[in-house]
Amino acid sequence: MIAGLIETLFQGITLGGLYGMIGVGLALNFGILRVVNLAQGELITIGAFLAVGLVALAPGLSFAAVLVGAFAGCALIGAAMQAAAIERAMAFRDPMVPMLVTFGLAVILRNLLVETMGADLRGLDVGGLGQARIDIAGLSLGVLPLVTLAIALAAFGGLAALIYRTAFGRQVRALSDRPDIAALMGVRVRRVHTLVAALSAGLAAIAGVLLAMRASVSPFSGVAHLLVAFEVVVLGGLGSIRGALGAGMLLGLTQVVSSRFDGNAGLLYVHLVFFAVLVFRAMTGRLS
Amino acid sequence: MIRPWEIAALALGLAAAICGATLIGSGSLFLLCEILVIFLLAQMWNLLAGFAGQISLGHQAFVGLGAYTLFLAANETALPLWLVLALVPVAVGLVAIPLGLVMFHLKHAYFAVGMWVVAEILMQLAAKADWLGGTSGLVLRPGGNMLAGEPERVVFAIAAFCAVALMVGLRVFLRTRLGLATLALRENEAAAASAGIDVRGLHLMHFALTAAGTALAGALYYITALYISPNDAFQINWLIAMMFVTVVGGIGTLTGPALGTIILIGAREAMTAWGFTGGQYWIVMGLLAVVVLLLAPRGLWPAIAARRGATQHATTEETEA
Repeated sequence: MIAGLIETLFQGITLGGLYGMIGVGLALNFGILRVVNLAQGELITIGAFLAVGLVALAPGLSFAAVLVGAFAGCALIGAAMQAAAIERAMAFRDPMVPMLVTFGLAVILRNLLVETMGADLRGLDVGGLGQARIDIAGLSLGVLPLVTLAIALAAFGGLAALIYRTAFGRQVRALSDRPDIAALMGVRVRRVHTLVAALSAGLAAIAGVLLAMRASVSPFSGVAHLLVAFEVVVLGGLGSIRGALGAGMLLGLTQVVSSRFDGNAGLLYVHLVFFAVLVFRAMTGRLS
Repeated sequence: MIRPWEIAALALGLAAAICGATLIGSGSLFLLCEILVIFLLAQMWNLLAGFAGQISLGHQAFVGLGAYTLFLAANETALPLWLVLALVPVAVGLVAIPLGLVMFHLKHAYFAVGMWVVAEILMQLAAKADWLGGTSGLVLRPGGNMLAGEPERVVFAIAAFCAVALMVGLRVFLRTRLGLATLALRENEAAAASAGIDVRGLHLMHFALTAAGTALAGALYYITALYISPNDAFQINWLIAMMFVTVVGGIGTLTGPALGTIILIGAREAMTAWGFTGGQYWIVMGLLAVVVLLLAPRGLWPAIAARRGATQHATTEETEA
């Protein structure tokens, strides 16, 4: 009984770490650039496909190298999108324009993926890792979920350190708070914007790799990822990095607990919990 | 109020709808029905996003609601199909009022995402509901029998007249007090509110009206399809079409969605005929959307109208275009 409860909690927390990862790139993008990036789901999918492709091309590659490769590939795509299109769209005063530009970019990316990769489902073969378990204090825990959680927590920790402990992070925060004054102080606005977009896309790639280890992805799964990312960001408080982790945990726990009672409901209960929390917060005036 | 030439346009639209329905071949009618449905859907999304300033990422919810309401009511009762069709927008419009009252607690991005989640919840509930056929969906059998004849002829006539009536109706509406209030809302919500306009009431009215219109268009489409499933009726592609058509054609204008629909379907038919794949078509459409947004962020029609009317009454062109 107790062991079952702990097992459920463990699964919920590890899934929550993954959900947090799915959302954190979107949170960063929204928090700093004030752009709702509708292409984030596509970047997650591309990250997964980059990892699958790297493993297929170089089977001997270490996992860390695959992760770095996917991160770098997606970061390049994110930076290119920001520099070529989104930055220009941000010049219009209407915040709807950049959002709609990312909508067009999402359509492009999704169909480029379909055209080059086909519409098949792909997954990362993790070998025996998928079944491996270790015993900690009398509990048997899956190694793969532990690895997922560790990578997610490391990514969150690294991001927080980057934003709150480095000179670059100070520029980013300044730009987020008062863009005009930050520019006056010599922050190179476009460069920081491009770097933030690259970082956000790289985080999406990590989420994509973790997803591909756990289940398979198709070129069409970007939309579903985007919705989860949205829920994480909105629940966590728009643009909050720490909030994204907490919201991911809540939604992950919801998913694992609800699947105990109703095995074939997809993300129905996650959506319901999200919706209920959102409306409750709005009605009680606790929504910024 | 309504001007003589607008009444003439309505009469002409009715005549064209009936003539087209009787004279055009069945194959072309399916394509025309699809074009008209997409135009109606886009105009609804445009009314809410472009005029009332509320971006909804979940209007596919009303496509599915409308179609499921139609299938269920037609299959389970003895009411004639076309009477059921007339009742669908009323029913969905009424359902949209309490939904709107809840959703309007959410603003901007929260509202957009909240609507999307509503659509996903409805899709999954429909997939779980055995009385709606679950994931395998429903076949249209009005009163228990297969639909006889060529329903696409009637669907075309209704959709074509609705499209004309919608254009005329919206032109007339925008001249009324409520219409002027809507235009004020489009230009500046805060200023409109301070001028005494009931922003919330106006939002709710547009939300319910666009829900009703979206439901009607969805019901029309699925009559020609004869079959409905949750993954199809609530799919995000409905929203993608609505957004694309509105954004490229011209958001916040009446003519823009018509132009956008012609581009969306025209390019699809042309590229399919030239042997391009669906993926390549959507890549081109995505590029088009990005380029249009960067060069003319309000869409193609306002850019064209501004150039054409630059010498004369440019402002009325833009507000009435």
